[in-house]
Amino acid sequence: MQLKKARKKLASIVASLRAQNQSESELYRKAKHWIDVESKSHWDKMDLGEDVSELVKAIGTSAAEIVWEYNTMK
Amino acid sequence: MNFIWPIDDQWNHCNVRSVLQRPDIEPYWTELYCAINGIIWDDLINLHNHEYNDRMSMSVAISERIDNELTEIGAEAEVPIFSKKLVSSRDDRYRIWKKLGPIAIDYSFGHPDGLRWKLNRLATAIIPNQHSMENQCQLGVLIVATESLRKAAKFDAKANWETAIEDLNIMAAQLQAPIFILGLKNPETFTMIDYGRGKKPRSHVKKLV
Repeated sequence: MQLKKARKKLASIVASLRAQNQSESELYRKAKHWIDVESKSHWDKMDLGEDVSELVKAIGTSAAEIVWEYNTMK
Repeated sequence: MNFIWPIDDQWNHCNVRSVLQRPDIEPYWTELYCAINGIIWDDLINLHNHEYNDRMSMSVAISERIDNELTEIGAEAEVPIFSKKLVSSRDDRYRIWKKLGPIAIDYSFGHPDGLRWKLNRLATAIIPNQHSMENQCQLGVLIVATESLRKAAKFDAKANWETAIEDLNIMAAQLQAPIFILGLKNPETFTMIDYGRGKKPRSHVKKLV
């Protein structure tokens, strides 16, 4: 999943879980952690000039898993 | 991310200051206020430097971050103002960029003509109309950069808070709806380097120590 799209999608999942009073849930915590931490976790390596393409793919996959979990929760 | 606050008498358009305190508006306004204030400039700078350094200005990083913050607090996106089907079925002229409860929100980091159109569209979302309204709002918020931020973040188009306030005063008789112009301040903690067209990266935001 492309990171820009993933950031937007996970923001909407966070909003949806909040609206359902699920801001204490594990899925909410995962989504928030992805937005606040995981989605930025390749930046330090980029600063060192390292190739982050595989890491970016993994971050995108992790976002896709959260979206899948959200969709199957319904 | 700080913005110009509180509202001065000179730009208290349609008494927007007291509208923001109304019980049906205030909880949403507080959420919006906290969401914008909660955006950290270091985060924005990092977002630009790592994801959008092929761009000349910080406008994409700033608009994406605001968009996501508003989404997180539950703002709906691209909400139609009217229930009537307009001329074109794919028409997006009369859509609210973000709707948070009774608040219509838009941003303008581009051309001043776009800014004036967005002021009009926000007013259209509030003022009763001959067309039936699907999502009538009570208040409009237009997010713009102050001239100081516009220059620092290298937005090439001239829309800014100062122009928006002037336009709102000039068109006060036409825009009979409470609209708050949210002027993003320059934190004065960064400087932006533009390496020039065709260069990779095109730009870099440097934090000032």
